Amino acid sequence: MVVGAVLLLEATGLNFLRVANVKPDLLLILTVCHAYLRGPRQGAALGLLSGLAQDLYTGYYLGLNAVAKGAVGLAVGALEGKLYREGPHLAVPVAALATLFHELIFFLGLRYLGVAVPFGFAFVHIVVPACVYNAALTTLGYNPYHRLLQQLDRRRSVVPR
Amino acid sequence: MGPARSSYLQRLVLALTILGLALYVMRATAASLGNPVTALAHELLGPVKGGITEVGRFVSQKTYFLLSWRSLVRENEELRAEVGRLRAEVAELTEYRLENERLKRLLQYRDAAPGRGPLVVARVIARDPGNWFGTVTIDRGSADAVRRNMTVVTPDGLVGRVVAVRAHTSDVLLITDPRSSVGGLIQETRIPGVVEGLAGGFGLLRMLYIAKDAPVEVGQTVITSGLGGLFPKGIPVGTVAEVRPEGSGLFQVVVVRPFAQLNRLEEVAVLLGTGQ
Repeated sequence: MVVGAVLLLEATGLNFLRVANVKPDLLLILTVCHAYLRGPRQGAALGLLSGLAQDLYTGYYLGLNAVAKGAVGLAVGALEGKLYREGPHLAVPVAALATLFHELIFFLGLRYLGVAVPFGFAFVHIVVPACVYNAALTTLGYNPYHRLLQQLDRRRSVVPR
Repeated sequence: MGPARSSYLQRLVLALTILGLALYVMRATAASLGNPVTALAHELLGPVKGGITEVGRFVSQKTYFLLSWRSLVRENEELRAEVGRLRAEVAELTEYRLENERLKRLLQYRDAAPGRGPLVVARVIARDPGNWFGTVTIDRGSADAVRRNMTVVTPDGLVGRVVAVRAHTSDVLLITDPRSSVGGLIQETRIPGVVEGLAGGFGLLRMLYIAKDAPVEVGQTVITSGLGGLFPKGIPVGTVAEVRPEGSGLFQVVVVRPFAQLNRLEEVAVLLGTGQ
């Protein structure tokens, strides 16, 4: 449901928040934060799910977003427990690198599908601005998401089995 | 006559004298208020009276506030609510006015180009959630006679073509999408080429396959050529923003800035007579 709501937001309201021709990828930010805090299994699962939802919504190249976001969830999840978690200081550069990774996978996928986008143009006008934008939003979103997961954990621990 | 009687008479005379004097003064001062005594009295008492009046007004005001604060608070709340409602109404009316202007322009477009055939006006209700592709969803579908490959325009210029149709919505591939390809023509020099998109959110196009010695200049207009059969001829696409040599050295790449504001689309027109 959360993925669906975020996807709907991306398709409608976020278009008005374009900066340097790009809009933020909230599903990717969600995947990065989740994977960073919960590890590769959950990260990859959420990445696949959110990417698949995006593919189903757009209706073309089914699997392109799922693969890209699943791979990001897996890669970022591998860092779980190895980096400082209590604050967005390291999650932000991780989000920037994760976006770079995601966009490169996407670019290769487009090449594979025969959609020609010049690499230099794509790097300057899509990849770099997207990295900066997503990293900036991770600064805002990481702490609230971390607290939300902690609260959910606490609630689960007090529920009698 | 005893001393007691004499004293009584003296008091009576004094009282009558005072009474007579008073009656005289009353009569003498009845006609005019501007006598010196009155003027002096007013002059001396003026500040005192003014002070008393101010105090009275202050007390009256405070008393009124204290007595009516409940109704004032209520009135204040009502006024605030009214201001909020009116502000929302103004914003809504402004939105209607702007929408009306845009729709009027679309109607003028239809009237100005009757050869394009019938059109249906549609609202853009969603966009591709990513940054690479450029598609929008409009609120018209097969129920409104929209079909695949129909041309979509705004009064400013070409928007794209319909690529997927459902009963009440359709997807439009914008000319900025990297999968989009439009037969184009430099209007001034009639040089043909192919206009391709670069990325959905990026506001520029590129026109390819133009010989390196072809006379193309910044500011020239690009229109659809009609070649390929998808788009009718003569729809404005954009202006030449940049001309640079292509890597192979055989061609030049022409960067085109679309006329239509593709990142801020709200209403578009689908040309029903196209895309056959």
